[in-house]
Amino acid sequence: MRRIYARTTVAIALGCLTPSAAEPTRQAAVGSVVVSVDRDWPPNDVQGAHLSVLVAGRSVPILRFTRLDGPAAILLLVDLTWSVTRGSNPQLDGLAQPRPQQNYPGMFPGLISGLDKAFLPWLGPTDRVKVGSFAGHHLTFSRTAAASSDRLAAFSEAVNPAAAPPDDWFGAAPVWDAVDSAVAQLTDERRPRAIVLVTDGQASGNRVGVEEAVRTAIRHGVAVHVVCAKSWWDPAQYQPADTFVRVLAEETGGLFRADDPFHRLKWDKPARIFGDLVAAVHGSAELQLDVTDVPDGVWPLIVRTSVPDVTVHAPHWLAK
Amino acid sequence: MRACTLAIGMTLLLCQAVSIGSLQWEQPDTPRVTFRAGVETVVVRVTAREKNGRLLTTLERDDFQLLMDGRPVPVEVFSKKRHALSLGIMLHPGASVPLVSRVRDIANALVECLEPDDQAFIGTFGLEVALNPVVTSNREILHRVLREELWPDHGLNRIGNALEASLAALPRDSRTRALVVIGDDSAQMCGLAPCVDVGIAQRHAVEQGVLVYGIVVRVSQPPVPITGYPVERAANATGGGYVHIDRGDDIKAQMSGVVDELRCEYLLGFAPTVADERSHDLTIRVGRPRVRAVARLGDKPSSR
Repeated sequence: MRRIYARTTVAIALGCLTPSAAEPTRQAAVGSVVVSVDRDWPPNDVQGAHLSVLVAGRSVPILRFTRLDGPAAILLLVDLTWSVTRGSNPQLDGLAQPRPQQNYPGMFPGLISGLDKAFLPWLGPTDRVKVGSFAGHHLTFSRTAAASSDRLAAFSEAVNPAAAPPDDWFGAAPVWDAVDSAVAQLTDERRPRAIVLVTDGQASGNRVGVEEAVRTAIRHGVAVHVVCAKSWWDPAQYQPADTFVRVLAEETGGLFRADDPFHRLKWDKPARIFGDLVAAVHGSAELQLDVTDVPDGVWPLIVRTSVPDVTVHAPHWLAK
Repeated sequence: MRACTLAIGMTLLLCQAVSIGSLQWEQPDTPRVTFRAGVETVVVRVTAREKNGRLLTTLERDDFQLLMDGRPVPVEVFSKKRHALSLGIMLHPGASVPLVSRVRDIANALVECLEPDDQAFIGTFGLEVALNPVVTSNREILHRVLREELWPDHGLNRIGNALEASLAALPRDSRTRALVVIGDDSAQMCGLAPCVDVGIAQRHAVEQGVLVYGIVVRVSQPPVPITGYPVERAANATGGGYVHIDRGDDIKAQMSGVVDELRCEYLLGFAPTVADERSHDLTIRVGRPRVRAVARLGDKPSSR
């Protein structure tokens, strides 16, 4: 446990490129840098000088490093399908017996009822919050809530299992489509803006693929952080379900956290797993890059830090 | 184009049956096509296979014999055609991890056999029934879906719901419409989830002219004997097809055969000897050794 807490993580998210108004002949990339730190590494200690940026393999100067201290816009996006709300482990199925007088959906409300307690307490008082949920054809987003009392109401409004008909609950899990729609919900919000996705990663029924969802999120400067319930099958035999949601998080500059499927049914207090992700959003900063020498196109982006034991999270692509 | 069947307005009373054996090799329990006589010409869609399963696409008019209530009637309309396909590729990966990989490999091979005029969508089912909404001719998209959207399930099987949902999703156009179901063909088991009766879904497939084709794959001895075979029953009822894929089989060749079988068919037309608006049996025979004809009742026998 000590090793985990001693580890310092820096997460960086870069958005789209925009031309510089002051220098019409030059172009600069503007994006947000999300810094996620532990108590051993105060966010204010991270500066632009600690970072280096490579675009298409070339070193690119950092013109400006701006900390984003304002309220964060965070969208909690919850996969309501059966495999998430009940669990993917047959042993877990045995534990989650139907409760008397309860009909599905909502029969196994473990994740749903505990998620507000696990997530909401980590938010800052001025953060702007939306909650979204999806299952089958069902996709809903709450209104934006700023005050604490409003947040709980918005949470109940959006993550209401009864809103998803049984056919949807036992239907597809269009994770990438939901992320695509969630990004659109955030585009009018100030930075930093992020999605916190709760799923088991068993995506299905998507109009768009994971690559397109990644591109959309990067284009709009939205980092997708993922809390993924672990699969029960052996990863050595089969591609684990978190393969693609891990890609989604890593390539958009988000953090990926896997949760134990037994644990997720027992959320009854603030969960550290969400605290890490919200801290990453609160630690955002924006980098302005000089990309004059970078050709037009979409290029691999790498952001590194010189600080030992610090991991840098950034989008993997930059479009010019 | 199927419109070339010169067909309008035929009434099919019962779409329950498939036909028929050859003159030399008949099935022990040969079912029959039943149709209502009251029209000038009845047209039926037929495929033919050798006993070893090989599809026969070289038959001519004289190779077929039609029997109405046991009495021969002349084949007045004959054609053979390759149709573009509109497929719902429905996958039942089950809870077995190796089976998931095998099902994916087979589905990928099937997608590779599609031609530019074909279109398809991918769906998966177990406890959860998940249909991808994209119906496309683009094989890259279909491969993407197979790569990103196929997971082991909980061991349950809502085949009735899967058939019903995929029937609704299958576009209606001039292509041959078929649901290709890949999995172990185990019996329906819905658990606590909403359950559609397989028989009802099967009847809807027949009424809508949709073929069901089962591709059965098992990678190990199942812990519980597989019973019911709902996909096989649906395949028989619709005039689709049913094949087993065993370890070591050439998947590409097998899928090529499946697609060819779905694509190729004979159209046989005849004039009923009576026009009494009653139901009559139609038997279709092939005058070659060890050849079996299958009527595609999914597309209603039609008339002019």
